[in-house]
Order: sequence, then C-alpha cells, then structure tokens
Amino acid sequence: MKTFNKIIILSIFPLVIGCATQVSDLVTSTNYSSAESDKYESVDKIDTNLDDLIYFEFDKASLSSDSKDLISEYVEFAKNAKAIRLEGHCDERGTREYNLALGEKRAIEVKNYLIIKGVSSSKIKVISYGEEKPIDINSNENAWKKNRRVEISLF
Amino acid sequence: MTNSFIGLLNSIFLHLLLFAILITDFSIFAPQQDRIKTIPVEFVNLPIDIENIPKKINNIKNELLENNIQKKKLIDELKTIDKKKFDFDTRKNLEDQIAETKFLNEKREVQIRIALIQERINSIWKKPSLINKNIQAEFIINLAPSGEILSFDLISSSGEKVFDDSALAALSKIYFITEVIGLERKYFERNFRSFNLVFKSKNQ
Amino acid sequence: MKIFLIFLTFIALSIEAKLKIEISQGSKDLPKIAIVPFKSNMKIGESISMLIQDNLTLFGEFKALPKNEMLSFPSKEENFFYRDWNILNVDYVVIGNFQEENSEFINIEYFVFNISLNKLILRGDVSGNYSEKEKISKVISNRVYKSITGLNGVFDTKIAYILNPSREEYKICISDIDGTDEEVLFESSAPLMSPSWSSDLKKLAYVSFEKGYPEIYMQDLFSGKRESIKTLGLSNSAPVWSPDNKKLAFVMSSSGNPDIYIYNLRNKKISRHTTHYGIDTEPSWSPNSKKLLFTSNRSGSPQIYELTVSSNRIKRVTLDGDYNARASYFPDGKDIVLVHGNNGVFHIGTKKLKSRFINTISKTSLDESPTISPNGNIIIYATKNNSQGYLAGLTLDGKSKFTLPVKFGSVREPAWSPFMN
Repeated sequence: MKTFNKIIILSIFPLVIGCATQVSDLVTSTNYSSAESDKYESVDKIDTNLDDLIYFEFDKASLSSDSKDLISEYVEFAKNAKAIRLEGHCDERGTREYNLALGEKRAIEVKNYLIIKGVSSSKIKVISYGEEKPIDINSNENAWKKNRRVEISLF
Repeated sequence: MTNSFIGLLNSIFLHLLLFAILITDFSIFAPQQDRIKTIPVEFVNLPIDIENIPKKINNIKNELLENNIQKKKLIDELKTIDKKKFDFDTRKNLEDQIAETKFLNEKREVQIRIALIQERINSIWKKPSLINKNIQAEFIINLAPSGEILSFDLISSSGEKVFDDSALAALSKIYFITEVIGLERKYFERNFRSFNLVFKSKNQ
Repeated sequence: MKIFLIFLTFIALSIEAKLKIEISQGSKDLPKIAIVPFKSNMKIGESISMLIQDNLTLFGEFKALPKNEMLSFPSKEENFFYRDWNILNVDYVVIGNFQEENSEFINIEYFVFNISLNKLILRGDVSGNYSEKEKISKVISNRVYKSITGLNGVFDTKIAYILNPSREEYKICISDIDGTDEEVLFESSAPLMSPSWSSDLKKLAYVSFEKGYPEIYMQDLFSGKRESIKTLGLSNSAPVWSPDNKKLAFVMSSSGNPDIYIYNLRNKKISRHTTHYGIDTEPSWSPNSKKLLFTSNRSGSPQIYELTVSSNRIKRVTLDGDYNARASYFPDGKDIVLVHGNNGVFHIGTKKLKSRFINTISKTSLDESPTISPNGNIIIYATKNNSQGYLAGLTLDGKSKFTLPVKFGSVREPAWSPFMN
C-alpha cells in the first residue's frame, strides 16, 4: 500500500519536471576613485559676553518669549557688526534631511526677529546643519534639549 | 430495436429527472430537520494564528461538548412532550433546534480538522518570499478515509514557478492527512473525500 | 432507481459543499541549503563554496548545512543522489567542480538541486580571473538565489554610506553589500549627507558642507571628478537620481522655504514643483520616474505626500502618527517604506500606498534612513546604540534580522545601489 501511494505521488513529477535552467557568466573587475576637497576657512568672531544659544521645542521653529528677550539683547551689537551668522541645529530624533530644513526654519525665525528689531537683513547669513553637529552626542532628553538650538555669531 | 432501447432509456431518465425535481420540491414541505441537512456548509478558513490553534481547538471541543449535552436535553424534552398532548409549535421548535445542533456539530468537527490540517501544512511549507506579489496556487486533494493522500493535482497555477514548486514540495512531504481519522464517515465523505487546498502568498 | 436518486443528490451535495482550505502562513523554518565543497585540485574549491555559503546566509534567508553533517560530496550530476539529502531534511543542494583552473583563469561548472521535488533546477558555468574569486562566488550566489526564490540576487550590489570616525571627520564610502572592500570616495572636515546612486551606477550624488553651506555634488565614481549644481538658493540638499537617469530631484531653499525642485540632467534646467511655505523635503522617485514621494510639515507635523511631476498634483499619503518622513517606494511602486515616529520613538514602517495602515517593522528606537534592496526583499536602515551609529537590516517576511559589520566610527545614511548589471 505504501509503495502504491508513493508511485501516485511521484507520478505527478513528470508534469513539473522541465529542463533545468542553463546559465553562463563571465566575471570582470571594476575600480573606483576618490576626490579631493576644497578648503574652507572661518573668520574671527566678535565676543559679546552674551549667551549665544537660542533653544527650541522638538519639531518646532517658533521663538519663546525668553528667546525673544535674549535676541533683543543682541540687537545693538548686531547693528554694529559687519556680519551676523545664524546656525540652526536639531536633535538627533527624526530624519536627517527634514532636520536640515527644520534647522533652517529655526535660524530664519531668529533672522526675522532681528530684522523686525531693525538689523539690516543684508548682513545676516543663515545656515542649517540639521542634526549633523550636536553639542551633546548622548541620546537623552537633556542632550536633545541642548542640541535644538540656533547659534548666533557676530563678525 | 436500438432506437426503442434508447427511447426507453431516455424516457426512464426523464422520468427520473422529473421525479427528482418533484422530490426536491416536496422537500420544502418535509420536516425542517431534513431541509437543514442540505444547507451547504460555508467553510471559511479560520484566522491563522498558529500559536493559538491548540487553545482554539480546546474551545471548540468544549463548545461541542456543551452542544451534545444540550442536544440530549432537547431530545429528552421532546420525548416528554411526545407523551403529553401534541403541541405542534413546541415540537417543531424543538426539532428545529435539534437539527441546528446537528448542523453545528458537523461544522465544528470539520473546523477542528481544518485548523489541524492548516497548522501542519503551514509548518511544512517553506513559502518563497515573493514580496508584494498577491498570488495563489490551488490543488485538489483526494483522500482515503484512512487519511491517505490518494492523489493531488495542481488545478490552478500561481503563475510563479517557484511558488507552485514550493507548494508541491510541501505536499510531496505528506503521505497521510491523519487529521481526518476518527471523523464520522458521512462528515468525511461530505468534506474531505475530495477537497481543495489553496496556497496563498499573502495573509489576506 | 433509488441508487440513481442517491447519486443525483450526492452530486448536488458535492457541488454545494466543496471544501476549500487556505494556507497562507508558511513555516517559520528557513529553507535549508547545502553547499558541497566544489571539487578542485588547488584547494580553492572549498573557499569558493564557503564564500557562496556566506553570501546566501548573509541576510538570514537560508540555513546552511554544516560540512561535517554531509553524507556525500558529489561534484557532478552523475554522482548526485537525492536520498543522501532527503534524510538530512535539506531543501536545496549546490554542487560544483572546476573545469579549468590555473593561477590565472578558472572555469566552474555548478548545479542546484531541489531535493523535495527530486529535480535539478539550475545548471551553470562561470569563468573569470583567479584573483576575482569573491566576485565569481557572488555571481554563482546570485544565480543560485534566483533559481530558488525566483528573485534576482543582490550579493554583488554595493552600499554607500556616511562614516563619521570623529567629530570633525566625515567620509563618504562605498563597500560591497557584505561590508567588505570599503572605498572612501570623499573626505571632509565638514558634514557630508544624503548619498544617492545614479541608476547607471557611474555616479553618486551627495551633500557637502565643505564651503560652509550645504551644496549638492555629483561625483564620477571612476574618475573621481566632481561637479556641483550651481543654483541661486541658500541651501541645496536631498539629491535623488531618477530611475530613468534623466533627472535629479532635490531640495532648494531660497529664503528659508525648502521646496522640491527637479534638475534636468540633459538640458541642465531646473523646475520648481512645490511652493508651500512649510518644509518640503526628502524627495524620492517612483520606479517609473513619474512621481515623487516627499515629506512636508504643511499639516503641522511631518507627513508623506505624493507628487505627480507632470501636473504638480499633490496627494497626502500618511494620516496616522505625529511623524512620518523619508519615504521611498518599493520596486513595485505600490508599497512604501518610511520612518514612522510616535511619541518620540522612531521605527521603520511599511505601508501600502492605497491603505491607511502603517506596519512597523523595526524594534530599536532611533531608526532612520531605510534603504530597500533592489529586489525589494530586504531593508537596511541606520540606528544607534550609545550614540554609536550602525547599520541594521531585516527581511520583509519577518524571518530574519541582522546587523552589518561595525565600522570604526558612526555609520549612517545607507544607500543601497541598484542592480549591478
């Protein structure tokens, strides 16, 4: 009985057996090259004795009233400076390209507030580093709080 | 001679057909119990959740047990009513209920076996990961009451050779579907003598 | 007469109640494969079969039978016996032999058997330079994989990523998908971001801060030559090559308003495709190069939208969760993978474009930058452990999870190359 059973089962195989696929390959090699970087140098910063960091909430670019007060203290220095650089940053949470855009939104928010207070927009330079340059590399609330910031530099 | 023979056969056949139709029509007026018997049983596959299958089977078994107790009670009740004055409504009502439990018994018995068969074939089948392809291969399986697989045949290909092959490989590893052993013979004939097995790429 | 009647009713019954049993789960066990050491006179045979075994088990898709459990060591079809492998519960066996071997040139003949079906499913040969044995093994592995799964193998594909060994050190690297043969394409003391392969595999686009602001560069992989897209914007980011190799989608921000733009590589013209004042970023092409997925916070939180390039028509794709970002299409164009955040926890999720449900597939909490294998079967993503970034991956059937070899420094933003051929 057992063998009979097996014969029936095996008998369906001729239906599915076709010729095995046949393939032939030839292997060749590839080599990649690297490129050189252009150098970039930074200029000297003016020391204002003020806290140069403005902080933000997660996934937000709006300024708190404390932040607005701090920026106001910058206005007089800013009016006399040759150039103002605003650097937006984010914490590590969320995606990198989105954070790059969010950092820019944060820096723009500070820039707009300076303009309202009478600083000439032509000397303000805005840049975002997204989450690429954290102050604190740890993964906790405290570190994230420090990293969600706009850095103000006067030249 | 042959003509008249064919004519005779024809007339017999037609008479039989007519008779069959008449019988079917009559069955509407026949007792409820008989009518329920012929209700096609809808076998939807159980939600596939391998871990919970033993638990589910237990639940079904318990329900079955309760069902049997209930059935006995109903029959006893029917007997006592028999002895009393004939009350058509009560009797019909009880008969309906008995028929209903019988029907549910078959459905449950069969569902237990289906769950067991699904569990075993699932454990053997190495499904190829053809991601995002929603395909299925259908086989017809013929069983002996001993559970022995008499034959299996691909009746509808998935269109993917690798997928069909994986199902064939799983089936070729099974010689007996022991899960049907112990099932009442008429339940077996009605459900498992010849059934279809569908291998699906997606759990939907 | 009675018999006939019974017969009639039997037919009626069997038609009405034909039982249909559905099987859709499948076994949790991995397919078991045996790679028999290839027969060779120069001892290279065993190393080739070991390399093939390493490839096939790289993403945890197969379980390999150890050599010491094998009952026979066939190398040709004639001396192969199914029963030797049936006993061992093996699903597939690969055997092979060297037709030609000297210190320069090798030619290998190989066979793949399906044991449960008693069937030879592939007969192949491959030739190449002796020094290219890794590559030769990858070619065989791809062929074996295709014969078993029906999918194209990805063992010879590459992966690009950003390596950050120390605070002021950024490298853009390419390695084989198994992490070997790492090559540095570009180094900088300023951040590098967003590598993207051209579909002809000749170039890589990325973002570099080397001049003090984010700028897009396209680097030729063979000559090392770089060119940047000169635009008027204040920052350029998130370049993505279209699958038809004709366009580059990217993000440009002129006054703090990042929008999606397309750079036509033929006529060097730039077109703008979103105008909302919120953030629009992370474009990703559909397989037919006609649509883009992108992230926008126009609703108040980052969500995924789909843009039809020809009409600029925009459709919202995600509804659930407070953070959905960086989506990309599967090769079929019907499903997407994305970063799904809820209450500050970020996982990799998949979603059908047409259904609402997001299925989270990763378990760690800071998962980002998912990249899909060109055959659509595997996802590699970046995650972190104690502020050290590393790459992890999983197969979409949920049977396997793996991590890629740890590098010296944080690794992030993996970008899986298209198929190599």
